[in-house]
Amino acid sequence: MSTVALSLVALLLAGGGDPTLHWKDKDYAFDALPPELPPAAHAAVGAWMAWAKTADYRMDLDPSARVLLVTRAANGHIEKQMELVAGVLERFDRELVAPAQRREVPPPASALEPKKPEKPAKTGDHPPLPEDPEDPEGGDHPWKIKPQTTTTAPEPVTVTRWGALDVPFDTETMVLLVLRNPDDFEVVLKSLGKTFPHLADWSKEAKALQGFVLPAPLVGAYLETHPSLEEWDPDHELVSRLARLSLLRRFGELPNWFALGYAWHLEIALQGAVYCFPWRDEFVWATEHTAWPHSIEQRYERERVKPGDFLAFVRGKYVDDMARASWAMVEYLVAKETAKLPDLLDELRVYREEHGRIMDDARTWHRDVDYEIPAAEQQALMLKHLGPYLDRATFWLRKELVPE
Amino acid sequence: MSVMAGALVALTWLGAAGARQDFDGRVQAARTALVKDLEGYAAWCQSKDLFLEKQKAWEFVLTLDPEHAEARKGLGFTRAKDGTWKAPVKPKIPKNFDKGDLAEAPARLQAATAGYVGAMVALLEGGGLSPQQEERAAAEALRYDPDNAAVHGKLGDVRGEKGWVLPETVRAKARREEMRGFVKKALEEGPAPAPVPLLEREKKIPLSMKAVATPSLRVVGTVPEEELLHAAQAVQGIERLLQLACNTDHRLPNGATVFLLADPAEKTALIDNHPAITPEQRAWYLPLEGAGIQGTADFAFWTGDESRKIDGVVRLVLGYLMSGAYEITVAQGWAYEGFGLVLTRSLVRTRMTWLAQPSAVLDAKADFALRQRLIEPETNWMDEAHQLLAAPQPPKVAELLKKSANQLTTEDVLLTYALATYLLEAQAEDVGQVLSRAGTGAGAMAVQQAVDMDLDAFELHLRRWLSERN
Repeated sequence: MSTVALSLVALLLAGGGDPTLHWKDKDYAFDALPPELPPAAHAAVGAWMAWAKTADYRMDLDPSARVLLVTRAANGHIEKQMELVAGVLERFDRELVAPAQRREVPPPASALEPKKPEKPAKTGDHPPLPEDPEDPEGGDHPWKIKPQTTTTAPEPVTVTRWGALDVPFDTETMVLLVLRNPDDFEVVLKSLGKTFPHLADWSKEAKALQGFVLPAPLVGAYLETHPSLEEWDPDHELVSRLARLSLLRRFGELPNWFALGYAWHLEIALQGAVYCFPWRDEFVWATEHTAWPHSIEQRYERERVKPGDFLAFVRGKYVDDMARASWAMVEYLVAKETAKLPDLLDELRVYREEHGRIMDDARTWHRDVDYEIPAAEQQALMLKHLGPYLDRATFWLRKELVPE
Repeated sequence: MSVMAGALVALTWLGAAGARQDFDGRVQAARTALVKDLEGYAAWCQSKDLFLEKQKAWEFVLTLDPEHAEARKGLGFTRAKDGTWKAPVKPKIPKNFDKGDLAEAPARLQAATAGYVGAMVALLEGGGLSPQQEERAAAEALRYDPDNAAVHGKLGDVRGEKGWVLPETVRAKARREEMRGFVKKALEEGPAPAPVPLLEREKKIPLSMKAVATPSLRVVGTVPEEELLHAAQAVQGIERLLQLACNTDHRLPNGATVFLLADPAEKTALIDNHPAITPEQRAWYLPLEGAGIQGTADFAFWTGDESRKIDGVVRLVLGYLMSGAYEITVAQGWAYEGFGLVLTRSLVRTRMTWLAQPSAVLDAKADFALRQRLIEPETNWMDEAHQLLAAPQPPKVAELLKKSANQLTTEDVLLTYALATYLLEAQAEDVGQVLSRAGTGAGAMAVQQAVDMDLDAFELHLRRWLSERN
């Protein structure tokens, strides 16, 4: 992380100004950060402080040092924003605790000592053919050196978030940039593209966006205001993007329906309405912001929840029915299946990491960034962890989603 | 004369086409006749109280005619209102009561099936069938008369220790014995490597290295001296094995040197300080697991444990030798990969270095599983290859022979392995010539001539040879 942080600093222009880090009711100059500042927070501050100086931004760190909020220096709204940060963290910690034990992602084919692969069922009508018919055990062969095999117990390992520069879960400081205008947004994108090669292409296309949430580095951003943005509420953006960053930090990349569903869950819980509609390009009616609970209740009075209502809600396209159903399912899970969620989410993460690989050759692979866990596979994992949950969810949505 | 010849060719061609087109009709007619003959045999069983034999006869009939009502009833099936047959809930196990007549039953059954077997033999002897049709006709005949000499003769089979087999099966067994001798010679009869001082050019590489050497080879590196000695034995061994197995006298280049580095991080010191690597070339070498250094007689490997390094460097050296001896490069993927893998495994028992693209035929999950299996050192590649050739859509040998090494899919790699094994074991006399011709771009023609059949027919042949390689 330190190497990356240094290079990010180097890419951004050094400048003047008198910006500070505000943490636990005290202000610190960037060149006099407190020694008790945790290393992850130190790294996050270090990565962005040169740009903050140049662009005239301030930094506020929550008391637990988990969220670094970067906003314009003359920000009269910071207290409310930090209250929202605290609200998101408090609710997130209460509702989605970390898995008691995280799974390891099985290695791909390139690992030399993986678990024994399964043999396919025999299709022929004969016993297996010997490789060396006259010396099946290889006992007569003069070459005696064998590939190393692991005979000792494996070393304990720290499970890290895939693609996150080997940073362990629940240790990184989330950075949330609240950008004052599209020019600042573009500068940030450019510097990310230069510092992180895997973001180079994305950073060019992302100019058309009004914000982003990235897993590696763990950073989110949104525009505080924009002339073309109607029905845009920056406080909702803060809640929504911080919710998604929190999920990434604790659980890695999860299916879209859950990540957005949880973000909407927190928007409604903390702000009482929905204002964030990723990938939506049609008009948003004023009444829509608060209409989701009743519309879901009415829908599931008429029908039962089906896996396809939400499991097939993939990134890149906003589908209103699926968006609402995704939110509703998260409401149900958080309300009624809380204890089972950490393990379910951990297994979803592992499934994605294991299957979202593209083999380049026998020994190397790269990540399929567009990979989505097939709905049928998600459903199988849901059933494994929750049992026959759909009828229970239907009943709950009919009877308990909207208080009488 | 030319008109006559033309007419004769046309007639022959029409005859072959006719036989192919008529094949299904003739098989069906023979099956219908066989059903009648089996009905007669079943009636004889009934008359002799051989009820178990009668049941077997009806089961035979059902394989030929699933709607045969008498056979169904004889086996206890009942007919539902919708016309479908319903199997008995508790099938009876009948008995044979007359032991004296039971002894006569095999001859009676053979007589009942003789007409059918004769019809299949006639189809085979009539010629003009496709390889698949020939295989089917032969299989049908042998199903009822497994020892039929006429059919085996037509197939070119010979009697081996385990019955009728391909002549190559017998040849290959003897050749494997020879190959084991070659491997022993290659590993045990070369000059023993011994520790030697570093040369001046080696001292300029800022690594703590040692060296061992034979008269024709140096192995230098940061790995333990024992590994250097093993690597020297293996590299000398692959030179000798190629000479013995493929009848070539091609040798390692003068001054051949192998660099083995214990830690991949050390590669930078080697790459930065090797006099033949220019600054522009550095980036090309850095991501590799090891490499032959262009324009020199140097090979280097810096990845994995001792076995991985030796496997990798043996493949590098073998690639060099095959290029010099036969002009085989990665462009002739089947030969480069197939012979590379088979000879490396013959010598050092590993197959850790291979190229493959994701499968074009298997789905991603199946392809991934196949790769995982093949990388396992204990996986039996010959059995995997046999299963691959028995699958509904095996890779085509003709297509395989056109691909470069980095166009090969996972299944292709498996098939190249089986093909190279076949050529080394079963066509040993021709293998050098096949490789020489493959190096000139005539690989398909060379393989076809060596096996003396077209490549479609050869696929079936290879599959059968694999099944007999036990």
